[in-house]
Amino acid sequence: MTAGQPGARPLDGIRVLDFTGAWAGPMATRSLAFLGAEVIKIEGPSRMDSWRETVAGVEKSRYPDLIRGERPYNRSFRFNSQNHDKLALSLDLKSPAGVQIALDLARVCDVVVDNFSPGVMESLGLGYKALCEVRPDLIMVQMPAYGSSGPDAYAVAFGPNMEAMTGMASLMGYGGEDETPVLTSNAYLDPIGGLHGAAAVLTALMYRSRTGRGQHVEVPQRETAMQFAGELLLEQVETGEVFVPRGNAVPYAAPHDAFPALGEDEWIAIAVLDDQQWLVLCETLGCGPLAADPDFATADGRRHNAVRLHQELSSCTIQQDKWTLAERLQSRGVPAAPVCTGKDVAENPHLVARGVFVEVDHAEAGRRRYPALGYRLESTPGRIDRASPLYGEHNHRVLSDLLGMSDQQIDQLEASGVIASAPRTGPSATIPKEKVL
Amino acid sequence: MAQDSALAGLRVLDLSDNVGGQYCARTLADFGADVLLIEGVDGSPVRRAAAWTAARPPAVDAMLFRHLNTGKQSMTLDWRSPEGMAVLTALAADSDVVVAGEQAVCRALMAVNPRLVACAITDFGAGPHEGWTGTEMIFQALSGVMLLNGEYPKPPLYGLGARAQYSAGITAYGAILAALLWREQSGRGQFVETAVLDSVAVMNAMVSARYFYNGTFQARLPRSGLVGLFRCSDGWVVVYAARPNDWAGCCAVFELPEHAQDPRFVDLADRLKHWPEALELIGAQAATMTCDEVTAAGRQCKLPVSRVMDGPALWADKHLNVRGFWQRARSGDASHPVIAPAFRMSATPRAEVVTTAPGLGEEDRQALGSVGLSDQHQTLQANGVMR
Repeated sequence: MTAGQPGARPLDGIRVLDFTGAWAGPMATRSLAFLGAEVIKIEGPSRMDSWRETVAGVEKSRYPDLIRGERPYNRSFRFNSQNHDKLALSLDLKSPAGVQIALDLARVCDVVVDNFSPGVMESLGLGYKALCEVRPDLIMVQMPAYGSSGPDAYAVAFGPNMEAMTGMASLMGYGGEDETPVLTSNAYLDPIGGLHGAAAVLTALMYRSRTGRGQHVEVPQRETAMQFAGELLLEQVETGEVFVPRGNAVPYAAPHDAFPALGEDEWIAIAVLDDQQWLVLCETLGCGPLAADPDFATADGRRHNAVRLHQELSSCTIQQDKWTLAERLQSRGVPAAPVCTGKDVAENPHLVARGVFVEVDHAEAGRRRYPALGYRLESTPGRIDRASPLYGEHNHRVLSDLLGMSDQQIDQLEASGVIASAPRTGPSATIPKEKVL
Repeated sequence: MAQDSALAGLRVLDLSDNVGGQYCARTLADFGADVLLIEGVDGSPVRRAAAWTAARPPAVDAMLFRHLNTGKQSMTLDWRSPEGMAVLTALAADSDVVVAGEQAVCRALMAVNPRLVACAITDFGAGPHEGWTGTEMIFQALSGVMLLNGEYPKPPLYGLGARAQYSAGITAYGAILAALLWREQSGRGQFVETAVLDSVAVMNAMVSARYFYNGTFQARLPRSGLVGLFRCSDGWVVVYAARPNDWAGCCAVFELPEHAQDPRFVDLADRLKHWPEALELIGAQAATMTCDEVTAAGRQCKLPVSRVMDGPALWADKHLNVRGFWQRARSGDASHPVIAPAFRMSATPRAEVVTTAPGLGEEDRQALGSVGLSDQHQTLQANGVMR
């Protein structure tokens, strides 16, 4: 595809060799595929992407219609939501033949991405130096959790651990009597790392297009996430104060909290930014006496009397539908939103209208919708063309088209276990990003 | 900025007054672009963002402003006035990128410079919620993240800071660079956009993807998987024991040898079922240990265990300091800490000292001069178009 043709995208012609697994790395390379790159995803015959879960399958909630199916590893929503458009090649990187194939592929790729711990690619013979020998202008983006230097470089890293080490967990919690830190949902660090990983590749592509030179880029996931809390960390450093959690309270709004709505575990989030909004809130909720209560007349008063305020407001909100009330408040200028379940998000009319969810066919998971990405380029829009690959789906295509191998050579590789069309043994659902020795 | 920076030579106008836009443009500055922040005559509202504590003197710009605008230059300009728009147009004619909080100004500037990549970062974008007012909690509530945070039956927790808005910023950064790469092939700029709600819904893709697969969704759990938060004698640690061998790690770190073969915990499925009992066992031991003792022992047996770190702990963290995570920004004769760029590029060694976020109006004349308009400064000031 060349410039000017309909359907052209910015990364058309860019080829990416992808050694990532789980969430952050695959999200980065899926972003590149969305923008037009061809992504070749490498998985080991006995070490598939951990987000394929296990060969035998894990809890049913990971699978279409709650059914694991014959090959659960092709059916997990976790893997299938992060690997659209990629070509899957199973390749044993512990065998010399496998490493040679990886090098041969690197020769015809522009970008290599991995999210192993530091040193893993080197130990496989696929470090930056080795790759540059076959592809001098290569861009290599590595996403080690804590970076490749420093005393914690090799510490085992998962989302919850990393989040604790960003300063975020220390700022989340109910506060007061309950000092327990709280972690963010199922993981928040991974998508932050993913978005920055894609940004790093794009930045290096800009440099290459200007200078003709590739380079190595390190995206330390913990540090990228700390950007997102930067002002809170710097303020603590500057003042020497240790900030402690205080529920949903913030300095710029009062009240600022979730209040119970009609139904079990249903909530509405309401943020009152000024005294005018407070009066509108009281009127909309039909709790006029609160508006006249001098304890609540100012933001300071509402903070000082937060417990009573929460009780009073809750007694008004608890009989109301969270969507209807949010619409009424927003139409009157008061920031409010339903606290959404997965169903609410998936069916949110705004997200649906904006095309955030895209439907694609998957050979073993059926026709399903998936969240796309937030990049919107008017002339060259990103898109999802194909569902995430089955395990080893493109072994033949990649080896034949890119490396010119014959059917016989490919069969031999399969017979000798260098490639595989099905995973050999199941890794646990949580294969670590730790050093392979 | 070093010649070898990835984005050297790129001229960016930052018209945004929100976290997403300013983080996007700061990242452009981090990797070598010349970024001019264009603020109203009263300054960007981000300068006045509320601090967490009341301890800071109000005359100082908000830490949020400092963090988001390190490395930029600034110019005051009421570009919504005709005179101001004329100046902005002159600047845009000579720029590569515009970052704004709305679409209209992007369109106007693209009309004068077809090579311009113009990016709007809005709260919701077009659609049914377009007229809604967004705050961080509103975005987190709509994205499904909030309902997963905290402990039932207490209220869900929105999180902290402005993380949804940052995610829009780094998404916009990616869109802009992609558009610039496209421009190199086609010679044409284009309009790009992102909305905070899009970005944060994508970040929380797991809730919608799961629902699309089987109609189920998760709410807050009394516990989340095999995660444990434990109070040590001097702080908190997080343990994540989700791999088969991690139980052995827990027993070693927390000195529970008698439970190493405990059938309740060895197998993963059993461990999940009995995890509350494990939490009690470990919790009792953790209380007698320091965080350092726990993390050092964890390192030995590769148990994923980390200290819950606050600001001062991070400032003192040896790992971050060895890596130069904290940078210094010059501000007159003084300097203050800032956070270094998000990723490290081998071809562009990081600066040891960077330029601090700009003061209000201090560089107005210089910025006007860059498009040959310095002789208009006094008139523009007199007419209230510049500070």
